Formats: sequence, C-alpha cells, structure tokens
Amino acid sequence: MTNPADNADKQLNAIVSALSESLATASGEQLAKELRAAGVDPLKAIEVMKFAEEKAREKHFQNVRDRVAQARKDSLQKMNGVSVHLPPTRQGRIELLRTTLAQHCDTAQFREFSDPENLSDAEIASMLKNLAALGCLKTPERDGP
Amino acid sequence: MQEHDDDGKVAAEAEIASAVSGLTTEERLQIISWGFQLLSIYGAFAELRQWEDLYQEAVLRTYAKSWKWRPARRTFVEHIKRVMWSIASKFPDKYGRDIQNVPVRETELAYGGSDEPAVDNVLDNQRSGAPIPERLVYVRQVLDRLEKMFEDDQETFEVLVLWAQEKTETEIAAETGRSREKVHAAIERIRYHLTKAKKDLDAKYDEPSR
Repeated sequence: MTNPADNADKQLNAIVSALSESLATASGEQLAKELRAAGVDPLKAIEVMKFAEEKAREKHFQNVRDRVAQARKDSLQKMNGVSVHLPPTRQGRIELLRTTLAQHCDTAQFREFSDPENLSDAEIASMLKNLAALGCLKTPERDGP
Repeated sequence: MQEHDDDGKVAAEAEIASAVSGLTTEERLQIISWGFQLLSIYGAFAELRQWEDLYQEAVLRTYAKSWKWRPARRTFVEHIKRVMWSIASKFPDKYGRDIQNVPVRETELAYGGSDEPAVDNVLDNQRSGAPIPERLVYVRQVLDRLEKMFEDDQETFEVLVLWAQEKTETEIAAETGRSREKVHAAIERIRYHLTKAKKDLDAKYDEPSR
C-alpha cells in the first residue's frame, strides 16, 4: 500500500525539483527582472549575499578555533588529572621510563632522547605522567586492591 | 594525485572559499531567487527567517563539512541549493527560531566517512522512524498553500499539478495542448509569485504594530 505521506512528499519534492530546474535554466537577466518585479533589488541582494558568505566563513573559523581551544583545555585537564602509580625509587622510575620509551620509540618527541640518568627526579616523574596521559605507560600491577 | 580524481573527494576549505568567491552574477541571482522561493514554499519557516540566513547557514555547513560538497558530483550552486532546500524543508516549529538547530537531513550520512554512498534525493533521507502523521499534515499544508496561491490562474495551476506528477516542460505542453512559450511563461509566473509572496510576508512583519 502506498504511504500517503510518501506520496505527498513525492509531489512536493517534484514541484520543488522542477522549480530548481527552472531556475537553473533561466538567464541572469530574467532572474533579475523577476526579482525586481517582486520588489527585490538584485544588486542589494548580491551585497547581502556576499556579507552572508563572509559571516559564514568567519563563524566557521571561530568554531574551529573554539574546538581547538577546547581540545587543548581537555588535554591539559587530562594531563593534570592523571593519577599514576609510579615505582617508589628513582632507579625503578628510570627503568620504567626506559621500557616505555623503547616501546614507543617512534614518538617524535622522544626520538633524540637517550639517557634518562641525566634527568632530574621531577623531570622523570613529569615524563612518566605525560606518557600515562597519552596511554603509553604500563605501570606494574599493584599487589591486592 | 589530484584531489578530485576520486568521485567521492570532499572539497577542502580553500576550494569552498574559491567556489564562493567565484560565483557569477547569474549564479548569485539563481541562489537568491531559490532562497526566496524556498521560504515562500515552506511558509512557517519563512515567517522566522530570511533567504540570506538560509544561504549563510548552507555555506557554513559546507565549510564545517556537516554537509559535504563533492565537486566531482555536483557544482557548488547545485550543492548549495540542495543544502538550502534541506534546511528549509525541515519541520520548522520543532526547532525554534535558531536556524542552527535545524538539522540537515543528509547530516547523518555526511558524517559517515568518505565511503558513504551518494545521496541524490534529500527527501529520501527521512528516517524510517519519522512521525508520519505530523509529516503528512505538514507536507499537505505546504501543498495546499501552493495550490491556493495559483488556483485563480488556470495555466499556472495546471503546470503546478503536472510538476507534482514529475512532468517536464515539454510533457506539460503536450498534455495541456499549450505552446512551450505559454508553459514557460506560466513557470515564470510561479517563480515571480513565490518570490513576491515572501517579500509581501516580510513587509507585513515590518509594519509597525497599531
């Protein structure tokens, strides 16, 4: 059975398609004449159109900037909020850092990095925390809950 | 490799900007007329918006790629007209005054990655779970309004009825026994009346309240 909504949709769709087609084949002169006859100044309308284009472009780039800023904020929050169970000793942390970097040596940030022994305790902890936030760090299993 | 060797490539921002700035006067007039006519057809929406809002939103959605433009498939003008149509044809009352609340029917598909199939008819994309009675009433209202608009002009009315049956200009001429010129003139009258209807509606809203 034909759905009445589909049928009505189809009719309206056909009318609007035909209108679109008729516009596509009309000359600029004819369209300008029709607009003027309906009380629309074609030149003014074109100016309004260009203004709308500029607004759309500005809005788009504003949206992009907002998204980037939000992503940065989220990422910083994630970095700051990450809770990592690090080995208690300096040597343990250096070993963990070495192992992790060996597994993720393709990460550009660490490509030139060779000797964790030269890093301060704070630097080691910070790097491990950042790696944890990136999901690269596998900390040793804790015993019990 | 060229950007558009593949039929499915989506235009980048620079291409969109270039297409926008490259619109000819003729193309611009076509889009402006289209905006007036859409808002006149989808009346409830027209009371709230202007053609330039519709156009601006279509350009914005193209930049944002929430409606992807694939230059190999259609021209920029064809693309923009489709997006404007889709926004205007959405049920207006549900989405309030903000045009950005109105979803584009193709949006779900447009987000589906670069391999999604081409969608040639925006009205085919109504989801199966759509409220049919509400939709039927709305579409019927639009059709009734169109019929009323042209019921006093028999030639024009016939064109409208035969358009609804997907007849071409040539077929309409053959079926009605009128010349191509007469049919063409009737089509021009439809466009004129639709543009004027929107303009008159705006004038009514601009009148100071008494």
